[in-house]
Amino acid sequence: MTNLLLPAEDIEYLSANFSNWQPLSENSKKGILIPDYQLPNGYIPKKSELMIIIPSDYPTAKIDMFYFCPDIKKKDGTDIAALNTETHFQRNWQRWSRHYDWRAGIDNIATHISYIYNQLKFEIDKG
Amino acid sequence: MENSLVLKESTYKDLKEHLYPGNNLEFAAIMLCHYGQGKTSFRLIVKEVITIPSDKCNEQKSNYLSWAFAEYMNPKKIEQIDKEGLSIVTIHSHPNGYNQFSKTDDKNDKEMFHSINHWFDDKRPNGSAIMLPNGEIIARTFNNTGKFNPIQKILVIGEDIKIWQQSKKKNKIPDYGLKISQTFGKGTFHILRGLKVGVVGCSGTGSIIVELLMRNCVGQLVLVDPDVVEAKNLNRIINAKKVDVEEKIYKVETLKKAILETGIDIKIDTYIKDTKSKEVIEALTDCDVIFGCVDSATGRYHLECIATAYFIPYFDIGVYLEADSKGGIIQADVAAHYIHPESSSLITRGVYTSEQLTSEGWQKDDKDYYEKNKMTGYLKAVGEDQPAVISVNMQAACLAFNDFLARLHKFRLDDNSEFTIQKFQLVQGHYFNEKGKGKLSPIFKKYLGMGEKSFLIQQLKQDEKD
Repeated sequence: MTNLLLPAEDIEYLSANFSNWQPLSENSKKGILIPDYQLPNGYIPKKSELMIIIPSDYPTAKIDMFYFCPDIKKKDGTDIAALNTETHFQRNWQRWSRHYDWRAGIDNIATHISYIYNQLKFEIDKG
Repeated sequence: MENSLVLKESTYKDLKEHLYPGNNLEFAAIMLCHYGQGKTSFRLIVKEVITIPSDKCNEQKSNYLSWAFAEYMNPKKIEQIDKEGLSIVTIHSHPNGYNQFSKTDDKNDKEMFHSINHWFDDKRPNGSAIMLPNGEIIARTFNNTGKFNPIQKILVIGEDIKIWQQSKKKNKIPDYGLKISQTFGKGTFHILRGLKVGVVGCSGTGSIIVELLMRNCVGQLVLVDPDVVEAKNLNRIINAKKVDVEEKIYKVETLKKAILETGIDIKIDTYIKDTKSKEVIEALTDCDVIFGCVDSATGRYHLECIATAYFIPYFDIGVYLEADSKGGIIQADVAAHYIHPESSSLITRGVYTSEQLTSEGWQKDDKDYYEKNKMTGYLKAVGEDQPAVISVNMQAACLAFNDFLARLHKFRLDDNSEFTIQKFQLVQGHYFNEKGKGKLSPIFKKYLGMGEKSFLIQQLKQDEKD
């Protein structure tokens, strides 16, 4: 089993924005965990643990989807599209099935996390 | 040890223009180089050139030059060079054509590199070079005791491949080399003899490339393939035998045995592994040229990582055979792609995609995750066993191999840049060649020429530890 190796720019970004981020590793599966991820207004709870799965050959191979534990829901009680439950790193996660065209060499953890934020905002804004 | 110094074509062109502006005076420059660690040698990869203009020279004649080195290598600059792990290689011109380092060069270099080597705590190689009026470069490194070692090979990698070798073992041409030498002349023959070539994938197209390299008297081969010969391979792997199938002999070993039986003088190293391996990457770092004879996005991507980080010219061979399973042939295309440090990438040319790379990675790493996400359409299905016919493979391999010869020997009427992509469509009966469209992918640009400092290389080398 190997440890997660990330490009310097990702480590700089994570350390600057989420000082308590952690690498995750289980057999060949790798990921990162951001405990205390501050959700945009409109969600319950206000914070959750955010997890992203990092594929081998990242950042040329693409990151897809994102995961929360505990589950989050909208304050207004309306449904969130395309959610599922999956087990990774020996925990159950609420999977947000969200996809976009990955640009190798441009997209990275920072762009994915900003994508996550936009998706979370979008869910609230659409009402 | 066959250490090398590698430049990309545009760097070399700028350097030559600076060193030979046409006024018969000596000029100097400083090359800052990244480091590549091979198995038996190292390569210095020129990152940037600092040119020394005339007004910074104290004295400048046709056979003498004195310039203010300390002005360029101030403490701040040295600190930066130290941090980036760069090697310092000075270079100057010999406009009078003197084709070796002069006694004055020896004396000056000894003093200078004694102090340069002490700037750094590590044992990075630093050295000096000269460029002759014909553009040839001769280079050497200095160790801490003041002794110098010649850098055996100087390579300029671009549309053409230029190679100067210092250890010219110009023995008599063996009888089996006469026809090659008759065709390409002694110069190219000796270049071929001096080459170390990596072949990754030693199956349908790779075994043909190996045959072509061996018959063209290439001196050393590095063969990489993780698989054994299977009965289904006997239709296309050159030299594969039933006994290899029965005894589960690895493809690289089958090829090695057959080559040695020819009696042609050639050195062969074999690796029963794939590209995600420190050992394989080090062996390929020793190579002057790589042939990629793989059919996966992952294999191609890894070879692009290696080729761009270490400035190794890379010839990619692809076969796209599609049958309708009723005996009809829908598509029979072969393609030869050439990759150099300033060319577009296979990924930007659309030869493989990020999606394919991702799917193949999951298929290997986590079958459950792959199957689940393939079912739901979130991962692309990885291509299964494709049909294969030896004559189609040969067409593909020969396209790439003749391209390799053309870039070494420059025999084409048109510029080699017109042949970045060559395709042969057997169903339509079309041959065409084109310039490489698009750009170098930003992922390779980011780590271009960075050798061991490339994240992509560190990632490939790291992943083997399990």
